[in-house]
Amino acid sequence: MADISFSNPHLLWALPLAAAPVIIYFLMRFRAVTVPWGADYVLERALERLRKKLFVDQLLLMVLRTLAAAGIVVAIARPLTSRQSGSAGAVQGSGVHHIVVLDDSASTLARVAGGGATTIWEREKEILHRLVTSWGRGERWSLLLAADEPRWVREYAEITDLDEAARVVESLEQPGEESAALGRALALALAAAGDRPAEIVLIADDQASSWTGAEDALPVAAGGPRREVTWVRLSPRDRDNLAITGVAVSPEVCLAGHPCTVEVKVRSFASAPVDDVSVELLLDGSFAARSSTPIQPGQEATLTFTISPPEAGSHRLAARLPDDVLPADDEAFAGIDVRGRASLMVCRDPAKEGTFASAGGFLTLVAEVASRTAKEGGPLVPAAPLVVETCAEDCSAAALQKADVVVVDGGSRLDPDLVAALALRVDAGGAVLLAPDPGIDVDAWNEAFAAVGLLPAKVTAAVEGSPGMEPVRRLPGSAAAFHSWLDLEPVPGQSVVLRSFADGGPFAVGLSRRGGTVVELAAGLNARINNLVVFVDVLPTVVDLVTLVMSRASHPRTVQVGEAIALALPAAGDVAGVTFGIGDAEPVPVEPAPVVRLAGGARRSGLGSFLLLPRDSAGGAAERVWIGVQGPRKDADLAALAKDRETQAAAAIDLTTVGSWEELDRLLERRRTGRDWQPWLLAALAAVLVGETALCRRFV
Amino acid sequence: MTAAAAYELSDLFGADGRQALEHLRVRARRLVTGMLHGGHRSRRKGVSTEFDHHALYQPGDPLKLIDWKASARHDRVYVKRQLEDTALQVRLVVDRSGSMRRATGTGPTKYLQAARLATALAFVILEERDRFGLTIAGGDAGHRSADGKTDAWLPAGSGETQLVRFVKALCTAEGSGRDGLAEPLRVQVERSERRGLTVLISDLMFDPGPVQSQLARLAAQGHDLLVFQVCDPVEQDFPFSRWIRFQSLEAGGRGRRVDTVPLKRLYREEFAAVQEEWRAWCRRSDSHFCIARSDAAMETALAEYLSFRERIGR
Repeated sequence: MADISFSNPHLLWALPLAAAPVIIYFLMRFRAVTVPWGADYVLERALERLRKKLFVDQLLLMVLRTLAAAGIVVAIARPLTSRQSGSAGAVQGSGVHHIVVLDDSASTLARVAGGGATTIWEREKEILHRLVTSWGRGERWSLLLAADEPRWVREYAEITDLDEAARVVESLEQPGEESAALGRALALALAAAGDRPAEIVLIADDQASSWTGAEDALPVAAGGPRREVTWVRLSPRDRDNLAITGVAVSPEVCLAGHPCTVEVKVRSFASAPVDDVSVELLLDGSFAARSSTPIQPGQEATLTFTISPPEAGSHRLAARLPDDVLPADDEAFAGIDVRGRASLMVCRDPAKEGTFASAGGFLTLVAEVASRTAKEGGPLVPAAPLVVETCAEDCSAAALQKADVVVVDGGSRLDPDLVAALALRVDAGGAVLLAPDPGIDVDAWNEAFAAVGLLPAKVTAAVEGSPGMEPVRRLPGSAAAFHSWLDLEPVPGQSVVLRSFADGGPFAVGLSRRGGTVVELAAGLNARINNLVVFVDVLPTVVDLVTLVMSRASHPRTVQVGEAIALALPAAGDVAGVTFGIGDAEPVPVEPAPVVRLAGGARRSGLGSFLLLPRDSAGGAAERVWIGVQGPRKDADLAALAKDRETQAAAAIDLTTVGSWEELDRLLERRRTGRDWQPWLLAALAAVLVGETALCRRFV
Repeated sequence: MTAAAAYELSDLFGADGRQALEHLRVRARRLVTGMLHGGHRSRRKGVSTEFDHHALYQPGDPLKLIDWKASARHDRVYVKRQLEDTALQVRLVVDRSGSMRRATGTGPTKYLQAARLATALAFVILEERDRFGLTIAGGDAGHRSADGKTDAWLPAGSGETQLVRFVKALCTAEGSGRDGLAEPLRVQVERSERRGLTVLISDLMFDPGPVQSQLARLAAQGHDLLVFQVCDPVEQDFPFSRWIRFQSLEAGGRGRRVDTVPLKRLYREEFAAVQEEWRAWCRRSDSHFCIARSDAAMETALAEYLSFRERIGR
């Protein structure tokens, strides 16, 4: 026995519209215009003929119009007949609500099994497209993206245009860095289904982590006789995923030609050890270095590279793994700022005299030696990096503004005006390097800098060496040796130990404030009492200290997804406009300011950049500043859902699993076995309209 | 005339109308010269100088008619019979029933168009020194003769005074009753007026049988017949495509709601059929049938008629 149902039964309430022709008939009759008439004789004769010949035609016309109106309503309600009695047959038609839950996690960017280079996400969209086109106009559908926070794209929307629905599918953006909470998403879908007959289709990969917490989120026995939950299960090509979890450049502000360190972290999500993980480092798109390491399952390995960017400017670094199942996490980016040289302003202690006793003289000599060696092509000093100036009583705030780094030498006599000027410099985003030596008045030092909040570490003791004694403290990996030093006690919760002596004691302690930074050293930068030897070997240590301080005063060029991004524009007035873009996304304009900020950061990982447009085109070309945005890789584990958990979920929500195209096609076919009478009804309507037109032509 | 005038003389003819009328008059004169006054030889015996035949004297014959010479030659008393030399007598019968009040927009009513047509004919006839009379049929506001059967009756006459009376009669208020042309035509038949031309000006929106019967009797009496049908453009074209309440101008204002969409074709066919019936009857009766639409100039219809007369040589 055929079971007649309607896809949109609520539309049958419009059946009284079938009376519209009769109502229109009487309405038009009621609204008749009065015309004074003299030709009654002819009118009578014509009416007599009308009564005899066309009365039946008119009656037939009225019946046809009534039938047509009723037919239109029924056709829109879409009558279906089905001989099935199972739940699949029962759920189709009858105004079923189609709810699709689409896995929108980062793992869907993995290559799908048997799909070549096709990703799971692309396959999901194909399946969704096929589903949408299998539905009928007038049916309702909802689309829920299952990410960390499930998000409705369409909610109980009526399908009026299949092309429009297909466009919705096409317009779905590639997933971000999120993982999926399928349990929560399914719970939302079940709640949205309510008491209406619903067909819920989950299109997701079989990643175990996506089902974390599903047992708590899903209601028990949520399925019913008129509700089906189908999981179109997609599997990745393989599960041996390796991911670069981070790229860190130290320091982020380098001097051209001088080495800086790049650390690349690689994590294995594979189930077996990998003997040789090869990581390639690219600087501005060109090969820079390669390194490899064995890695165990679940282990995170760090590979360290040393690069020396030859040219000043903003550069981009990319660390890349060989292509694997999830290419999206095989690459990570970082930005690096390379300066041509660093200008130092040494605030000399007036009490200090002599070339080697003060930092001013010492650094000037170091810079001169470096410059000479650079001219001779020495291997350790590829470029002359430092420009050193000295001030004593004339260290005004204006004089300090010009330097990249302000070095405070000695400290036996502290000028309150100088301390105030230093505070101003730090607050303006500048970098200050405090280099006290044991000759200072410890209490006065602590008190003076603590008063303005510029004391990263309290000096607790001073140890002064003597000429000829052996150096007692060294820096790791450096030729620098110190014969005298200070004991530092960092301010808890505010300061950071940036460098330590080989014996573990703090050597450099940093404190950041309002974009600027102050770094306090545990020793003076001078050659007094053989503290430091003026030799080219010391240069890397000096450069390291200078770039370290400059980096701390510079906004980071490598950030995490969602972390605020900022960029200082020293000459903001010369910039007409600023845009920020990441990957292939459309760049967004940013308001030019001394410090431009993107408080929300970037929503996805990748290589981003600020583009600075000069106000005067003659002033130079647009400048690009690279920003590396790195993701958390929290969805990189492609381990499969255990069978017992799948069974548990299936029992909870009456889940049917579909694992292939063939199974999907069979499912769709099974649900569409009922005959759709809408085309026949439309054809009959067309015939009725033709008949009505033919009848009307008789009257004209 | 007791009723107030429905029209002013200026309604009948504007400046353009008078100019057109003058043109028609000249044309009509050229057409009828030598054919109307002095040219209409009647079989009625009269007092003209043109001899017809001799007849035996009968008691009562005027003695002055005795042809003494012929009587002497044949020894019998003969009287001379002359052909009567008469002026043409035209009787204009204008329909003034309620249906003639129909007008389209700001255009003239059918009655006004009929009145213009009648006046124009009268003017042409007057110019030729012929006689014309007027019968206004239908309606209940017109004159009643002594026997009470004709709504308005103006005896035949000639001259400017006759024209003034003629126009005054036409300008009487329009009627509202049913068509009743048969009765005044019957009266005309019974009056046995001098034979001449009878011009019927009507919308012909009635059963043609009784009217055609009386017209046939007039034709049998030797009258020439001319029928003008005055048509309202809307009544003829029936340009409706919706429900219309047709309010009768005759039958007590009775209204009738009709869906004109299925009726349109039938109506047009019936209207054409009525016209064809009249055309065929006129052809059989050796009469002439003309159509004058109220949205067209009256002179057009009259000119068409005069052209027709010119073509057939009458």
